[in-house]
Amino acid sequence: MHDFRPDHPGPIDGWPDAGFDAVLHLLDRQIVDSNGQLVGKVDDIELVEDPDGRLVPTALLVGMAALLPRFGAHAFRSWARLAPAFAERYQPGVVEIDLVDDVTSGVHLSVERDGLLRSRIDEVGHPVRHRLSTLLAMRVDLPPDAGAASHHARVLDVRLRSRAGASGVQVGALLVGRGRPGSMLGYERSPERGPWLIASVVRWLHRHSRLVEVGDGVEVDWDAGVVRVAAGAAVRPVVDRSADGPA
Amino acid sequence: MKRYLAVALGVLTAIGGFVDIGDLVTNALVGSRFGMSLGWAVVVGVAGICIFAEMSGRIAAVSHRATFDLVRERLGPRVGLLNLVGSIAVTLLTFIAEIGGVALALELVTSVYYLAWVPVVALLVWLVLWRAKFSLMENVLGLLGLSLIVFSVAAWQLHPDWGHLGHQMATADKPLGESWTTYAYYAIALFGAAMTPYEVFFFSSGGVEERWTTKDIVTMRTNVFIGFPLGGILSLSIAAAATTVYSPLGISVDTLGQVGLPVAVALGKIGLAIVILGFVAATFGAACETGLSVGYSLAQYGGWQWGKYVKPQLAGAFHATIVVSVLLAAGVLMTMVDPILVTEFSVVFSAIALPLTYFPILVVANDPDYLGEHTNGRVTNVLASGYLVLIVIASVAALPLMVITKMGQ
Repeated sequence: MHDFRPDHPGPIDGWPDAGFDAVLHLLDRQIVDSNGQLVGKVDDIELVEDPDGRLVPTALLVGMAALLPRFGAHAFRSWARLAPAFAERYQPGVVEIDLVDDVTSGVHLSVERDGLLRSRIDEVGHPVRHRLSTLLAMRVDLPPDAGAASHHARVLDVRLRSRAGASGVQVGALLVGRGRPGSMLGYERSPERGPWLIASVVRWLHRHSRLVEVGDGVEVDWDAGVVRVAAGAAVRPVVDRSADGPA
Repeated sequence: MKRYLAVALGVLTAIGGFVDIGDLVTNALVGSRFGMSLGWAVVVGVAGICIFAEMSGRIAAVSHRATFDLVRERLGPRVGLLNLVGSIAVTLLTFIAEIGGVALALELVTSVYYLAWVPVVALLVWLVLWRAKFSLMENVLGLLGLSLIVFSVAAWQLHPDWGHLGHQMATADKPLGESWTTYAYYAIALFGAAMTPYEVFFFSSGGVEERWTTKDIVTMRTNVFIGFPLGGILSLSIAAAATTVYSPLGISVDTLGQVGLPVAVALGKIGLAIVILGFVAATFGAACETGLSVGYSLAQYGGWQWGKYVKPQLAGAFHATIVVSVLLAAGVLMTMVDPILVTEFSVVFSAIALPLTYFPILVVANDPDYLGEHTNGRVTNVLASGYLVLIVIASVAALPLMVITKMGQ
């Protein structure tokens, strides 16, 4: 048994320092260990606020305790209640992001899988940990001048960019749009991608989606579950209108 | 020899899609009632499965991702779960029917009641899925299943009026005694059987099992463009043989014995022996395909280790689902439910599973992050988009037609 990787490097060419979209390129991907054996899916991603207030991905979360909250609090509680005494019912397995060797169509680790997944045991004074899925469930309050996405806007994807002066990536921008149906499947990234039918429908559904640059005027309120975007924050359309002709 | 066996995966996949126990009976039934007037539905289905199986195989070769990985990556866990439930229902119902189908075929040889065979067959299927090497399984079952080609020989030996059959097929000439709703129901049933989702689960996972890389794209295409048309030819031959023998007598086919009878009429005992061998191999092959596909789709959704390319003890959860499926299948069959009827209910779940399986395949086949320079060309995209629309229409129409026609009566 050996790690059998695809010839093609994508989607994150230059891991760990290259930018990518967290949902499109990492969430729900297959995790593979150093022997090529399958570990699990990226059920969620842990985000930590660094001292400067920037959000940095620190770990992949694996297991029902990471997956089920994405189906809703009720599904998670019902499952946890089946064996309430066990802590692992509530706390997902953690794969530190440093253990990720490369990301192709799968997530390749530099270690073996046996005994790998443990829950986090945090000491006092640990950093504040969040989950990507929490961010994805948040409502986004956009200023009126941002465009028609201001009703029922949600975070659809999180764009990660390489960090200035440090290794790794940080949250750089939020892809914001109507909650359903789902993400843009990567169609915002290259205007020529086919087939025409799907590309047109996706671009039309997301004609009001916006890219919100994280920085001044953008506040993520984790307790209230809201992202507040003030007037004057950097907000721009995701779909390049010039490619579609007149709107 | 190895070069010829390289197409075994495509052949075995197609056998599971086109001539499993439900299809064997449906093809003969349609032939006896509608002549060749529904032949076009098989041809349309063959072209469709070729297009999508080629895409799923290409994705497996270049990115090493099987189809249910893509379903979860592109549709997310919620919609992915909906597809998982639909797909597993289709696959498991077919798996149950196949074990019954092997037992029915063995009853034809031994005259021992099929229920006595069910536990034996279930045990054998499980042993093959647990112990046999993937390549051995696909080569033996694929080759033996090819003996169903005897239907083509029989159809030729029965000296039908080829001009009439061809005319029926080309003009979709519905017999006067049948209603348009029944005709549409069987058209969708044949199209759905040709494009049944476990074919792409099995084909793409088989590609990963065989460790395909970008270099194997040609092998993969040979598999697709030989395997599936061959399945279509078998399907049409069964219908043609049934048309020639049963149509003039006004008999409607509903048992496996009746399906094989035209071969005996045309070719005598030798033909009968070959056709029964073909029945056993095809239903056994379809049982292996569907049994593995249940494990593949569940494991790929959950991220567990799957596959026969690793030792069984390294893929415990995957093999456990197969054990549970086998026990469930034997248990359901022991209630004396008609195995052929079981497959007819899978149409309902196909309606959910078909669009939700082929949509993510088409999206990923266009994604250079997965495929680099091997993304879809323009022609493939135009055809595949057309088929996606067709699949959605068929899915929406399937359930109402099933109710209106009382399952095609």
